[in-house]
Amino acid sequence: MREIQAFNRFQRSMHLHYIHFMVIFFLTGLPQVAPHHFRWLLYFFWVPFAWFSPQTTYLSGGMKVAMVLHRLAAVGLLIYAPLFALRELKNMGRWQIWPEGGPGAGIAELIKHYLSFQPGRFGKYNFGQKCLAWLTIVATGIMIVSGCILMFKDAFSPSAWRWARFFHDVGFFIFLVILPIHIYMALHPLNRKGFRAMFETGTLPEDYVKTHHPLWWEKIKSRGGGSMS
Amino acid sequence: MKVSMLYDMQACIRCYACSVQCGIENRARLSRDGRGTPERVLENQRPELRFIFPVFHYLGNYPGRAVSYVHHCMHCENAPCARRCPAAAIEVKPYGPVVIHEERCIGCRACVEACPFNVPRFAPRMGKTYKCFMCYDRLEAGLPPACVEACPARALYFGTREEVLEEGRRRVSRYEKRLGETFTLYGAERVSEATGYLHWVTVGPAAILEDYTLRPDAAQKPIEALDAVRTIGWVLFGASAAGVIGHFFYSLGKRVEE
Amino acid sequence: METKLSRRKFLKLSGIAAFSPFVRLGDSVRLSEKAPEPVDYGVERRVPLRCRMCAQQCPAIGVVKGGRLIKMEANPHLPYAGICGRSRSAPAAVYNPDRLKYPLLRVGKRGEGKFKRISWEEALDRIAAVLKKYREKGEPERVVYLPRFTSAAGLDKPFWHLYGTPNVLSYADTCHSAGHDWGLGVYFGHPTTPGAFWMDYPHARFGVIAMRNPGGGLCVYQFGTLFAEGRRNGVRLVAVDVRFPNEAVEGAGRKWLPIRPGTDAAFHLALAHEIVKKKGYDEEFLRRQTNACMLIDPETLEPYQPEITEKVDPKTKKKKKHVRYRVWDEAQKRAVFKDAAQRPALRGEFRLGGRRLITAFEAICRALEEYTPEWAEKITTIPAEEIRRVAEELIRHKPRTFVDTGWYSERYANVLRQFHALGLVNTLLGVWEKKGGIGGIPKVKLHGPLPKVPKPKALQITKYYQQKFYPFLVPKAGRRFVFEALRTGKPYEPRVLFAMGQNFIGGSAGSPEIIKLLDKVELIVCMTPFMDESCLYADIILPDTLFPERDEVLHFKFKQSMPTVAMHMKAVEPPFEARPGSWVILELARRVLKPEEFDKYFGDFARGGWELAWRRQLQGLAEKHPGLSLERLKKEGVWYGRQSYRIKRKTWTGEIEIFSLILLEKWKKLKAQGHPHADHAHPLPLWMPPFWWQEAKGRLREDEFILCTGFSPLNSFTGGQTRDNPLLLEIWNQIGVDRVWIHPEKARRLGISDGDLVEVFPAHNPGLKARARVWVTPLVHPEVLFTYYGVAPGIFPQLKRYLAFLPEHGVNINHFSKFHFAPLEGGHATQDVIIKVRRA
Repeated sequence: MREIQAFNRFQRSMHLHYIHFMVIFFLTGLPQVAPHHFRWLLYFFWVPFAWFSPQTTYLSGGMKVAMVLHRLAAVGLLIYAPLFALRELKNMGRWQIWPEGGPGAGIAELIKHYLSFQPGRFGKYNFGQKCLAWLTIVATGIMIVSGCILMFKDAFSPSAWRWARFFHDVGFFIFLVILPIHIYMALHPLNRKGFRAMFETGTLPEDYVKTHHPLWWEKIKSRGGGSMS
Repeated sequence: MKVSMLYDMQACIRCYACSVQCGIENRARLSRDGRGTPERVLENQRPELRFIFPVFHYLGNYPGRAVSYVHHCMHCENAPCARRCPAAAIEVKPYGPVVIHEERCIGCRACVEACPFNVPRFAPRMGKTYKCFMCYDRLEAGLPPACVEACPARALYFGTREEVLEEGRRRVSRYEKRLGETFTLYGAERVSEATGYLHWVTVGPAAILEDYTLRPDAAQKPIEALDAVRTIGWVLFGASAAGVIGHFFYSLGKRVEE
Repeated sequence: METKLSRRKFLKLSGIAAFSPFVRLGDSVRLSEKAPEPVDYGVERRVPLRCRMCAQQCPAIGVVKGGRLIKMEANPHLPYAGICGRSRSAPAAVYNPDRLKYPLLRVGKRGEGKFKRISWEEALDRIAAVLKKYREKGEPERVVYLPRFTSAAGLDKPFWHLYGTPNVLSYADTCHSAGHDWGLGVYFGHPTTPGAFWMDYPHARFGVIAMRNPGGGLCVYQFGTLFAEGRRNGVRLVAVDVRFPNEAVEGAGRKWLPIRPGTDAAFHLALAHEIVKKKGYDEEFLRRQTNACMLIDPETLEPYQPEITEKVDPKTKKKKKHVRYRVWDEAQKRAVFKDAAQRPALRGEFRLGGRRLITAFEAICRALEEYTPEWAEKITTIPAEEIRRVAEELIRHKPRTFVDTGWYSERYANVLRQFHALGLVNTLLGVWEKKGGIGGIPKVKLHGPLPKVPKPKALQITKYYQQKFYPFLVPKAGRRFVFEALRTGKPYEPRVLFAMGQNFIGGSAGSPEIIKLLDKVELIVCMTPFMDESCLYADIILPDTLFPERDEVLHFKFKQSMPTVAMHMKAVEPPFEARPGSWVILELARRVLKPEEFDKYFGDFARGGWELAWRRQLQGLAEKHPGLSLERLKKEGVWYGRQSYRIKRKTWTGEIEIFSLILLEKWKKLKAQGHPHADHAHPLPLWMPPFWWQEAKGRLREDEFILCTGFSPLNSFTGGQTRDNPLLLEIWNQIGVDRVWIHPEKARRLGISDGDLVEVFPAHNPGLKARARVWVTPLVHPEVLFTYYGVAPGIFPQLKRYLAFLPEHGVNINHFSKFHFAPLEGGHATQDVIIKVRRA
């Protein structure tokens, strides 16, 4: 059967690394945003560190390590994200996350897919995925800008820090709300093909695209086939 | 029993003896803690070690008005700094003072962001933030804070909260009687949701108090809004998690069409 | 040990160090679970001291732990106890690495600042050899001793007198002598220093502050604590100043009236005018306590048929003039002696035997007529209605009000007139010796620590100038006349200068001219704990102790409302080879004096030390002053008596002389001599402009300023203990103590913006330049550049080599000023020159 390329190597590697970054960001960020509930995480950071600096406690030492890791991950993201953004911006016109039909129709199709378990009339991405993509873009932007202010505090005024802190929190909660859904949907048996495409092959079977992503299939046909981002 | 401090702006002669003494006391603490000889600790420039420090600027056109005072921690009842410190380095003592523990500070400056009065000072060389801890080592040994001991004008006053409020009200009424202007005992009552009342109250002319950072409803709005953001955030997270779990059970009941 | 090891381990890990841009790792510190013990635990001694961070000697306690001075406290046994921030910073001065450590001998040229270390033995022998030479030549008066923060008080003056020189000269001519001292002193018949009056701020309702900022020029015991109590009691204040004196008048019920520099006299005259016009004066006071009713001739101003007697005081053997004068008795309608009058007339013109006579007060009122607030507004720039308002407040609140009698007066040429006018306002209001007004300072007179020494016979340099040109010069307070003597050769040229803590170059107007005159001096010795401008020109520098490192004579002169005696004992050992002046004087006495002289006067002290000297000082005083004992002083550090308001009077009439007979006599004499400045001694109120006013014809150009100074409560004069203090520098940096204040409009026109570095130089000598950072602020009069006094290197940037904590930039007005003298009183009139500014 013909396979249609859904994600190229770069996109898949970006997605994978973004997951790594997210894990580090969450593990090191949670004790900072909600210390009372996630302080216990600091023990894991502190234990190796304590060997170097036994005067510290899990709170001071662990938190410091958490902050260092958080910032190191941020540096990694700061290197990665612009590469991805530059490459994707070039193809902005071919993005599949632009709206196709109104939100009403989008939601109706979603219900059809997820509640009746029948293929909906989706593009490459359904309405939920598009919302998720845009929220991710916005939240990442918020996190990067506010994070830079928080990381390079000395270059900004305390009032900038305060707003940065505020928006860093807002961004965090955007992720916190959308990520469980995203992960769940990715793992759901309904989307096994998509999962495979993202993590293994990068391609979807042509039949599957025809049935599950009819709008996308139409586009592929009209453009004369081939891979589309 | 709570303790409190009083700063009488009207009596203060801006000699900054309090600030000098704070620097001396903290340097003596350094040598007490084995962090330098008594001589050596005196020659280093450590402005962050003076927890009560002078501010001097002006307002208006010629002939202008000088705005000078000693700035210090207000020891808020609700201590926004302590609430925001991720390392739990800031402790609110049961008798009032808000104490920062240098050894626990990680230098993240969350307290600097949270403080409505712009008090904590970050020292880049040490990578830590410093602020007044109301000489709690002295208090617990029955001594008044160093700056109070130092004030030659008795513009600083220390005692139990009741004593301090009584002294403050006495001064307010005397000034009002003699000078015919309204005076405020700032911090005697709740200043804002963020701060609560203050353990360091200030006597000053009501008309100009705001020029001395003593605003009514003092709070760092973006930081105080974090609580709301977090509440909304966790509720939404709960909703999304509930949706996921709901859908999971829903899917278990249905066979997936391959 | 454990801490050290782990930190080293910690630092080794360069990988972790690489994180530091993101999270500063900084210092790691020991964790403590409970509140640590306060530093006061383990203190071994609390030693009674008198603070010498400035010259005022506030009683304090030195806290000693581990053999180190860890802090200073106020002496708790005093009712008006207190010490200021300078005093609190004393440990930072004591352990300052910039202290002079060994005796130094000059090896380069004078001013070059090249010295080599020598032993005390060599230093003392060298000095003694020169001293001996002049004594043997019969010219001991050619040696001049200049004491300030002297560490040999009580010993030095007797030694130099015994040696044979009368030239023990203080620096008061660069402070309050004699414009303040005689301007106010004429009302009481003797020069009155700032230590002669205390303002009763605690009971006052309204006060005018002019020429003193009790918060800025802070003398805590007791002027500072009295002022603070007044503020707590809600005294209303108006400050007349060239800058906003935030230390004094910030807050409610207080006001700043900006004034043109050097024109305070006009303000006071206008106040007096208003008080007279509104009949706001205290009639009873003027009638009873003053000579306002004295009948005088309106033309010659001579008293009408007075009775003048001269009595010899049996105690002091001094002749004292006594004047009985006539008044117009309204009851008897004729002129009688005042003590015979029932109701002496205060004002009016009377005819007696064809002669026109008026009362002295009438003459004063007539003289005041032209000095309206409108007239004063033109001179001072203070709006006339403000002057009226101040006068009204003064009248309303009298006698619980005053115009503060001020302190550092020697800023302008006309200060004698200024303080005369200030005294007039207070006299009209009748506030002298009143509760809430102005009191006189009571003292317990102690004996000297040594047996009484005969006075030297030679003519004091300053006495010569007092007799010739400066009748109001106070001889003991005229150090700048030493250099005048070098310039003119009259009465003789001094050959040796021994400065005990005096910075005669940095602290005197006309420093560059003074330096040129030093070529004629054979030996210059400076004894001080820190390098200063004068040390740069010294041949031998002796390292002095700081005050906690020595015992000292008992002291009884404070700025006090109650007689006080205070102890000073050694708290810690001096560092390196620093030695107290008392030891140096004793060693010089041993070397210079004849053995029998030494034994007679210094023998007891050499054998018995300070213990014996203190007992001698207190001998027989316990009966008169109960509780005044050495034991109490050693334990508590202080003894104090009852508060008193009485002001000492030595006038010829025995009254407060609102019409001064001393001024009258001097003025007549000067007039007869044709002295160009005779009118500065005029007995009636009279406006005289300052030097700069005459030079600029009352109008400064755009880039011209008067450089005014004020005291910061965190600095004093030019001593290294405050101006080279790491702890004080920290605070100076926070409030910009070294900045030069400039008015925004002037700054705009000169293209100067806030924080700029500017070049400041005197108009009369543009080659003299100093750099300063500016603060553009509306808190300063447009014609004024303001800076705190003596904080900066000025034109001696090489000082930074020796004083690491001295601010980099800043100006010192003395470096720019002229080597001129204020008319009749010889003050240094240091601000009375025109200064220019341009961008650096």
